[in-house]
Amino acid sequence: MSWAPTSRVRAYPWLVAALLLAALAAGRPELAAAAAPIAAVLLAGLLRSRRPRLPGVRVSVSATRLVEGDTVDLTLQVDLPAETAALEVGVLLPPGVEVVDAANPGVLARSGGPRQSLTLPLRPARWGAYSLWTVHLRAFDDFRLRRFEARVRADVVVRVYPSTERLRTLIRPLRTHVYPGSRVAAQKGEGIEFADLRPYVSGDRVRSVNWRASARRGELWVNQRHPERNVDVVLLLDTFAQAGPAGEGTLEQMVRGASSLASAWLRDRDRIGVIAFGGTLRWLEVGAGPLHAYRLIDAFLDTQVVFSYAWKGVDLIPIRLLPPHALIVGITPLLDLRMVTSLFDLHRRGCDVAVIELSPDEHSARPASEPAALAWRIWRLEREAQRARFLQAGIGVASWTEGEPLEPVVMEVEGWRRRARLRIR
Amino acid sequence: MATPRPAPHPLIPALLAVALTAVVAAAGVLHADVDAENRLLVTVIAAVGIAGLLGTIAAVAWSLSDLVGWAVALLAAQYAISVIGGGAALDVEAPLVGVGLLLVAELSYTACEWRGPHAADASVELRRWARLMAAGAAGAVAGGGALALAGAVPGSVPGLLVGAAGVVGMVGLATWLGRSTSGEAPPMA
Repeated sequence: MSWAPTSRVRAYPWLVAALLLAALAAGRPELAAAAAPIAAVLLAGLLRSRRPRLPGVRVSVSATRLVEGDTVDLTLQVDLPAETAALEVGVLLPPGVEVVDAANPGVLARSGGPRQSLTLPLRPARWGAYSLWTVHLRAFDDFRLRRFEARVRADVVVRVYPSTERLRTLIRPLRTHVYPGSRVAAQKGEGIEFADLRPYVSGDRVRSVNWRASARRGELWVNQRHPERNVDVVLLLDTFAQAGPAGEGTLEQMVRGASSLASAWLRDRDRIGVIAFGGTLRWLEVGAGPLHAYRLIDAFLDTQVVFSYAWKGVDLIPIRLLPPHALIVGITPLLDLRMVTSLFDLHRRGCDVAVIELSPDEHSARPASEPAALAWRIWRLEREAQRARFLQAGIGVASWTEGEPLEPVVMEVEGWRRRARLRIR
Repeated sequence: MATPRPAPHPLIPALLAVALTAVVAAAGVLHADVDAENRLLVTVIAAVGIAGLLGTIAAVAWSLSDLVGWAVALLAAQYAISVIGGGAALDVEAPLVGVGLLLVAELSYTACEWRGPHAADASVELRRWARLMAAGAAGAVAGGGALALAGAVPGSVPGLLVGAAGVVGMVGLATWLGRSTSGEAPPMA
């Protein structure tokens, strides 16, 4: 352990020397007698001071994956050196992690045994991957004349998943995939949902015969049904820009929304992919199943805004990331023209596109002057016009404000798309 | 497996340090007031004592541990002025003054240390204070012995030599300790 003298060592010798010098100069032994207790403490402390060996520290956590709001117990197992009576153990926490109902640093007394454990209940404030935990160890000698310190880095990673909202309504894609799932397909085939009637042909199953219709028409008619299929959904996350401060802005809102949507679709056995479209392009191809759910969450945790001046369009997105008939859900604050243009381009190329707009209003400063208020109104009107252009083009869009549930937003988009489908028919 | 408990409140040693400083400063003034007829001397002693008290208050209030040494030095200077200007009689309470200065310094340093991130174990702290008091008492006894010896044999050459060696030794120790460190780790945040 490295060591350094404390403030006492910088003061006591000079104090004693000054009193002794004054005693000699003035010929007053009282001053030397007054210096004696401090000199005794100084000498006794230096004679007893021994540099302790570096304690062994093992760091473990009760869980490496948790959901926002959960607590995790960080346990430090420390081998106390024999040279010190007590060891202060503090954990340098990553930003956004707080200790719950415990003191940091804590102290371990040698009288409790040579090997002791200390548990710190921690709560990460927000989702993310937390690593690089540093344990700070500090000890003093018997008279606190020297301070011994060491830092131990622990290789522990805790992944905190964003809390998700359980959605009952989801945006229904225009077309389904060929694999079995929970969405009623437009095609006719084997399924549960009734579609139509047709005359019986050889090979039809008897259980498909609609006996009432057959009795009315004097010949055998069979029921046709819509099959249940799954869908492909690609979440297009806007990482060009965000509104609000880091940790509380639209990026966090976007990740929470994407997690809620992805978990809801995965529950229904649909295939989900993610494209983080911004200064850098990151993606995860469509997939399904529990393993893919973990991959998705990890992809969300790595999402960050990367600033770039370069113009980027949909040409940059590899074609295999956009499967045929996939629904593309853009989650965006609509602050960057590149994202807006890309959404229109995707729609023009025949993709089924819907947009969830992350409202930046909560994060923008209220106007303080008349011109600022006018600018604010113009900006809001431009955003409304932007939304209107999306709707005119046939892209469902709804605005989602931070702190409000996502379900009504999804319902609004789905409702608009249903009405648009009816108009087209 | 233990969950660490909150550290003791830093206000306790801070208040004790200020109270003890006030007692030491007041005792110096009272002692000078009884012994000396010179009002100017009493005023100077009171002023230095008040400066020491203010220094201690500032040190514990703003956690300025480097100021503690200067505050204690002012209290020591107050005592030195009162002894030198007071008269020829030996002050047999000198070792007690030394213990008082030691306690003021230790309480002030503890208050400063407890203002920052820290953790303390009650039994360990008690043992530390017991050791401190034992060493301080041993020093006071040694100081008393030296005082008695100096009273019996005033101006002895061995005494002067021991004192001079002590000065040189302490200055050397202070210089060596001030320079010696082994890659100080960053402070506990």
